[in-house]
Amino acid sequence: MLELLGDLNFTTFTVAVAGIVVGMFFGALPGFGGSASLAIVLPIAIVMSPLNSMVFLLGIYTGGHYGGGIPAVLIGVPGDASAAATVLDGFPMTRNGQASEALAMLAMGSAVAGIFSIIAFLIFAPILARVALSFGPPELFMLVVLGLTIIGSIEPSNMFKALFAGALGLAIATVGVDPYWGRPRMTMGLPQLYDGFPFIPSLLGLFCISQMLVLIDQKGLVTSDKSVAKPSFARTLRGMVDCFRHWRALAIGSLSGTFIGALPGAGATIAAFIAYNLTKNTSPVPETFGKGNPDGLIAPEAAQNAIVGGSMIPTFALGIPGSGAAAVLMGVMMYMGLRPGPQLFLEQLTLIQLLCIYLLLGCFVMIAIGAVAASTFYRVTRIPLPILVPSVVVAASIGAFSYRGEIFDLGVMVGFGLLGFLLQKRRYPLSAVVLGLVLGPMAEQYFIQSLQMSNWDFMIFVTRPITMVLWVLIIFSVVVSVLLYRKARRDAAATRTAG
Amino acid sequence: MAVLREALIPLVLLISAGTYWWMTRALPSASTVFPYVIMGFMTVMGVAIIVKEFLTSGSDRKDDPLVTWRAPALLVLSAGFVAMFVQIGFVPAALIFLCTSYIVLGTKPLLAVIVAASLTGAYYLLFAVLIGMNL
Repeated sequence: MLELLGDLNFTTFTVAVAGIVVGMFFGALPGFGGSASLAIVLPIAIVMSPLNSMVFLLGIYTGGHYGGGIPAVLIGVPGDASAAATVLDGFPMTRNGQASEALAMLAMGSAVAGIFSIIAFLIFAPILARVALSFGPPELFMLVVLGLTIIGSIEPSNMFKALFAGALGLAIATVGVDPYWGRPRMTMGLPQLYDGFPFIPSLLGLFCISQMLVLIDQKGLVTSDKSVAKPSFARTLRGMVDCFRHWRALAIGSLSGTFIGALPGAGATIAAFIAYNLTKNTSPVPETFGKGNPDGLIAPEAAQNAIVGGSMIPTFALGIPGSGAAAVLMGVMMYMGLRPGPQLFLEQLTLIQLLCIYLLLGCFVMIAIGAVAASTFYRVTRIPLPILVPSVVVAASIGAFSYRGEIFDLGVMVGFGLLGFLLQKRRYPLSAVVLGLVLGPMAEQYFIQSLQMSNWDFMIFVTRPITMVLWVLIIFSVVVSVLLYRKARRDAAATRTAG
Repeated sequence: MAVLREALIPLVLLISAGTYWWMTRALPSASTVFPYVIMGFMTVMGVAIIVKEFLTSGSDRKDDPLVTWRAPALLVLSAGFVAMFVQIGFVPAALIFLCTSYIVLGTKPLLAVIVAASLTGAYYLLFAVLIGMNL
């Protein structure tokens, strides 16, 4: 592969950097992350050479995941659904006056996981593709259930509310035509609801609008002046080095993101939440999660970026897109006359290897951008809230409107904003609602497909080898959640006694 | 009173779930098995939340988070922005919404007008002119 270094050229490298910067920009805009940003730049991508086009699109995809974490850390608004897990500890870090460190860890965690997943792609693509192929609907359903068990441990001291919120998200996701007979459910005669509540506007309402409503109740800035340490290049670099001290979270995020990315349809959100849950449940200090623990930021962020290399595995090796963004990439590849599948590795090996080299270089560029721009990004938290909040509301409205150009979606966004605000005020975790909302359609689809496969025999969920392994993981996750819940109750009781 | 406040969200959402059941009860079971399982679980959790609140003594309760007039005002302004978007289009709607919100939330009028006009222009330039969105 070293002989390929001679084939590298500056133009393609510039395209990779441009892709990452564009991706970061769109990722940071609420509602424009993932496949939406890829769709926007398609007209530019298809006039490039095949290599430049793929480098550009994958650069946007990589940069987008990192960019989505920036508003999640700074103002508690995820750029896309997968960054909802980043909010859990990223925003508390900012509120604790560690925005600089959080942004540095975001960049380093994203880049390291990206590098790991690309190397994994190069080495393990054929093997992982075979493993991923053995995941049928029952296994995927159990994987979604595993993702849902995270809800219980999101807020152990408030487990009933977390579970209620998760079920609410799942219930909202069942509005629309059903996947079995295609009958409308709870659509109230509105054709706009036949596909369910539009996802991006719902997400923007739940997270962005509700967060803005919460923030506007406090005067001044996102973080109080007293708690803020002045950002500097040195602090950012220190934060980046510190990231490696959290190697366990980095490893969990990178591994789970790469593996889950290789499963068609599983996606970055489930990977981010599973990584968060695994890190929390195996941490010696799980009670510090949700209060600004760096592990809780690094693990989901690493998982989201490891998805890029992971989702390339089924896309390139099997011709099955591993995510919505991978589907867009596959469409472009086919438009350019490249046939994704096992043959691609024989016919276009040089192209794939070059693509990986540029993506690896892109990850280093991401670290450099993160180091240089952290203090610039940080200035967002210095904008007075009476200016910041309405400006974000307009940006979110554009994001919601861009989804399908329907004014109805703006109404959905405002409605969900009110719902999210009320839920936050009564201490229901919004991340549980979003998790339910994301996983609901997948859960129902795989559930129905599995039952159709087995002629409505529910034993299909317990008799297959991979489902049995997943059951063990689910039981482990539930048991740990219950233990955390008990510990949280004991701690609360001890605090009351001491008080 | 605290119990009532805590019970309000589960009750309203469980009534919505009941409405869902009422509107879908005639559908074949394959269409409704999944949502009914979820709503059954939601009901159990909703009841658990209310019961837990009944059993919680006054001193154990956390204080209600502060809600000022600002959040309801922003919500009304946002709803107004959506209504204006339909009637008069993005640029005038965004300009009026931003200007009004800034002033209502305590920004000086001159600064509010300048920032609102600049930001509306920047949004339009970026999304409508550069990206080609039909705003």
